[in-house]
Amino acid sequence: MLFNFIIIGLSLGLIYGLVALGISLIYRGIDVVHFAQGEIFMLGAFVGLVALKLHEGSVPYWLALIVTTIFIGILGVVIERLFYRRLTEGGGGYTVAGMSIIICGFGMSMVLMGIAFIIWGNESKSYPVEFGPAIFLGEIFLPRTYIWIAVVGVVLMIVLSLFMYKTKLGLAARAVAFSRETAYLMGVNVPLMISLIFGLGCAVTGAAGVLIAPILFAQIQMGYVMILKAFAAAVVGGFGSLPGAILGGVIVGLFETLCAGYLWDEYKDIYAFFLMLVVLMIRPSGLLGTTVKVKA
Amino acid sequence: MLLRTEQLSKQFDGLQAISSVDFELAEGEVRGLIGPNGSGKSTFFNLVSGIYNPDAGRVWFEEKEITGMESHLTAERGIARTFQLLRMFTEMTVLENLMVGHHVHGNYNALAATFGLRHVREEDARVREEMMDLLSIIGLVDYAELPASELSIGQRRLLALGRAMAMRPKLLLLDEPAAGLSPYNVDNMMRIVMELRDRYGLTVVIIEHILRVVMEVCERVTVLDYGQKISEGTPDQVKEDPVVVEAYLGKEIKDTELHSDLKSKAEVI
Amino acid sequence: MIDKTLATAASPLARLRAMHPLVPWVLTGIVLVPLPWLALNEYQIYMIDFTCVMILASVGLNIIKGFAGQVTVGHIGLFAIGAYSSAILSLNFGFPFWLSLPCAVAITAMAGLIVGIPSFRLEGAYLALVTLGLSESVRLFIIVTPYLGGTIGIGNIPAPQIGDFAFDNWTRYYFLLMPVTLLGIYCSFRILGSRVGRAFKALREDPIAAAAAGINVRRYKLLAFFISAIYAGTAGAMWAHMDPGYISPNSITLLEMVTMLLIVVLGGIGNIWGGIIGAIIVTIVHDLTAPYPWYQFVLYGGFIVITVLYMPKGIGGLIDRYFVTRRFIEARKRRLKDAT
Repeated sequence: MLFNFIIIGLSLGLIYGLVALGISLIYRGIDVVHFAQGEIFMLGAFVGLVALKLHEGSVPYWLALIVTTIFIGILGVVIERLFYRRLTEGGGGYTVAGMSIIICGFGMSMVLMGIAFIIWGNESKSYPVEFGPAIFLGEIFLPRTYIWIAVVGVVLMIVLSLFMYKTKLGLAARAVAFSRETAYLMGVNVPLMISLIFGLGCAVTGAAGVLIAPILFAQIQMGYVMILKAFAAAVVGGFGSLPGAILGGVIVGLFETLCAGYLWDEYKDIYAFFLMLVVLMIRPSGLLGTTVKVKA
Repeated sequence: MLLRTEQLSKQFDGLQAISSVDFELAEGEVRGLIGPNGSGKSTFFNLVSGIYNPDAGRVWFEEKEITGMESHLTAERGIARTFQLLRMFTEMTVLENLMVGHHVHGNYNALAATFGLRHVREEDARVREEMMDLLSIIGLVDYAELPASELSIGQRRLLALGRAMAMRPKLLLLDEPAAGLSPYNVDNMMRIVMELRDRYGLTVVIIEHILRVVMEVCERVTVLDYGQKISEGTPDQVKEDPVVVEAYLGKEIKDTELHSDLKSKAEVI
Repeated sequence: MIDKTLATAASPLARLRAMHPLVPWVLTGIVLVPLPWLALNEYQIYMIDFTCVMILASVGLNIIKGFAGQVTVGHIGLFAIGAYSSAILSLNFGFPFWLSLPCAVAITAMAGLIVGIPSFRLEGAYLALVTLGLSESVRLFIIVTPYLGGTIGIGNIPAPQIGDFAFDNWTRYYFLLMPVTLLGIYCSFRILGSRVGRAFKALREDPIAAAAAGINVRRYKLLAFFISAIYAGTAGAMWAHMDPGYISPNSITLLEMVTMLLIVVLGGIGNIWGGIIGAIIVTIVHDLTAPYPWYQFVLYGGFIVITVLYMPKGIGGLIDRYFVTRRFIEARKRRLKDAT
């Protein structure tokens, strides 16, 4: 029983981690806390569904995954260009201007949720995929979806790291994350990099949606449930830290599953929040993050 | 001694910003605090006024210890300061900015305010008048009802000074009060500072880079470099002190090859 | 701020206010008395009542967001605590409304203080997250707790009574709600025009400079949460006892929170008058679009985004700009006149 909880917790945790990765990436890159990231996740699940149903359902899962990831990434760029650009130029930070970005993200998440309803309606939609029978490792019951999650999750992380640290474009993105003004002066196309970072963050999150949908089904409210957990993951691992996001996600996933399994399962969705609260009060920088509160 | 520090130290991530600084300030003095960029002058103010906690050392104000006391408490004790980066309340009017400064001396609480009791309104009216008087001293009375964002840099510096004065402080810490001002405005600012000091019996410490201000206005000068006090005395004494000169200018340029090389090139041109 | 003292002391409004600041509000109350009879049907009276509740809630939200600058998204949770506390106290403990209301407000105020404590260490998005989570936790807790009615909710909440007279229809309730709302608005103006309000505004703009000016930032943050919780609790409790006296977790979902947020954003964060206008507009729109709840998401969310992008100070900002410009022009005219 314990092992099953661990498997579930790890897999869920990886998903939380991927969404948290998107959030932290965007935060690290352009100093924006994207409140609508949960809806991006939800849209990933639905777009994946649409992709799978094309050509009378003959699209293989891996292709739908890739197509959705790219599509959501582009969608993210479109949203950023149309709406957030005006605000990101003003800079983040905890002034009234900073509040605007948060409120705008909140509003955007409402819009996306409403649009999703108009297109797809309120019922949960299952994924028309058959992965084959589950694998049994001794007593451990391992549905194949979890293998997909683990493999794709790790692949995404590796690809992202390679991109960030081994390519010139990734270097430019990191430069923008470090200091926008300096990057401008160095000749980096900063607006393009901002869009790229945002798009990458959304793409990763969209992929997470496709990965979890076979288990949780596509439901328009899944984003709302996810956002708190993903933020909890980001906080626990260290807001803005990319490895921290994955680590935090895994921790949150395990914690939540174990608590729900051994304690009260009615409060399942509150455990993650509780963990986040504890971390915020004791060690706000999380495990791997470094927050700097600027003084005079 | 109005203000005294003993072996005050503070480091940030391995960088020693202030290192074992002993400082004494008598009542009524006008002291200059100078030093190259990054020498720890603003950090010193922050340690005294309570924005940072010192790693070591102690601070006394009016012979009572205030080491590590928080900003709003030192403000209540009578320490007022301005900031290098202004820190204006841009969304409030000029008058309101001053009234915030007066907050420390306010006498009514939220409950009384909620019900609009008579003494609340009377006190507000009285404070408003006092602040208008203060505005006339600093020359901003015409701008009282304007948002602070409408002021020019010179006016904003004056407003910052006014806000500090509204606290009726005993000690005034001015962090580059004349930075970015034209010569006329610098003179105006200094004239107002001295007038306030004479009128209200203040003690003032001024961080400044403008030599004229330090020479003309300060009675004594303390010099910091890399977080340490390297010199102290009258402005003339400090100006001549070789340690100070070296801190600012580096060692004297000797007759090096580079020097004669440049000389010969200059002759050609 | 409110007192345009410089040249207009002789205006009739100022003379009224000089007697006691409450006077113009009492007069406004008297003027508003006939409102229910101007309504075309019962439902419109309900709408008026509902708008009053929303105004109360939005004033509270404006205080915490606009004045203290704390990013909170959990106001609806406090509203719920107020509503449920008063309901439970009056149903299960037999408290009359006149006792359950103040008790519920006190409970909500305490909850507000608890919400305020994280605000010392958290800023911006972190605080938004925590308040969102807290609010959601309240809702989830209500759903899984049978004592609080679960998903079914609590009904038969008794209407306020004085002797034999019960405020059990919308018209009668109006005469309870309207004075309370006016009082709430009045109190907010008084607080915000006082040194407390100035301290709030200072701490919103620049907590370090505010502390250097002697403002105890922690205390004023807590005070802001406390005050805004009082408003939320009052609004919630008044909502609970209103005919038909029924509350459920379905009326405190994300949609309601977004509605409140829209009111404050549309009206201009930190602008009380804007919030009032916003409350009226949004309540009407909310009612007109009630058959299409999901479209409301798009509509409200869209308006929040558009307002934040293109009209960041909201309707209140536009009004303010008009007045400031007028004052500036008058001041300039006066200066020119003095110069000649």
